[in-house]
Amino acid sequence: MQVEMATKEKNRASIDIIADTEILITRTIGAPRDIVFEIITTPEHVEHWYGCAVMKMVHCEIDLRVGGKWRYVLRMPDQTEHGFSGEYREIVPPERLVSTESYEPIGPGHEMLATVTLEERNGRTTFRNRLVYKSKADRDGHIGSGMEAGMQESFDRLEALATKRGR
Amino acid sequence: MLATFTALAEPNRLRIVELLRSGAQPVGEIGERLHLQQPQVSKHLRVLKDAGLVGVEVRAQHRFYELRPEPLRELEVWLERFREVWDARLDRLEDYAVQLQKARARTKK
Repeated sequence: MQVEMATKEKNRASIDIIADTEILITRTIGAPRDIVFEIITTPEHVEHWYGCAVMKMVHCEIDLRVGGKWRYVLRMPDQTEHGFSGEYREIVPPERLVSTESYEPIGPGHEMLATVTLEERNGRTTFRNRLVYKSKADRDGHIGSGMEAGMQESFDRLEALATKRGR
Repeated sequence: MLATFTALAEPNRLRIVELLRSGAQPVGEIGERLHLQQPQVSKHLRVLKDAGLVGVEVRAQHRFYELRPEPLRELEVWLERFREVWDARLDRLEDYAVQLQKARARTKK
């Protein structure tokens, strides 16, 4: 019952700008960390939550070992496919996952280092993702991509509304 | 947006912005409070003014520098969108994690 109640609270991620080339994303997730770790490192689970109606996940591969590669492909509403890929650097289930990440369309030399840590308390997990970029421009570009994605989502919502009204 | 970032990237300029949060100040006062030379403060204020972060108000023949919130608000909106994207993703992760946990609890029974 308590878990039920807890998951109903609206959690909000916080974004902290730590340095010119570094940000930290923090959020509480209403589930134990072994489950969270499992679903962020297993392709059949990742496929269930990573994509959304707007950005559909069409490919997911994970070679979960140090030096192993991962690659996700998302399909945008305009049907273009965007690849994200990287390499695992540290794997400590169920508490820590360090990997590099590149957004393929911008080419090599812009990868970021993502350090995900999971801390569990009373069955809830604090998810932290520390992102370290090669440059301030890369950081700003990545945050800016949120703007684009956010706008795309809003457009999608608008479109859905418009279609509804049209009927 | 880039102008806002560039303006705030310099530590002394960020300190000036922080100081101006408590209210408008003349150049001399800013220099004194932050232990900076007046020409240095003027130079920084010019950059902040160009970025639209600071405005000038003349009061009793003194020029008071005050914070203009618009670029900071724009920055906030920008960051907020990024946060929303992550929140949406982590919402889906959470829903899926809870579902999986429940499904497993059922199979155990």
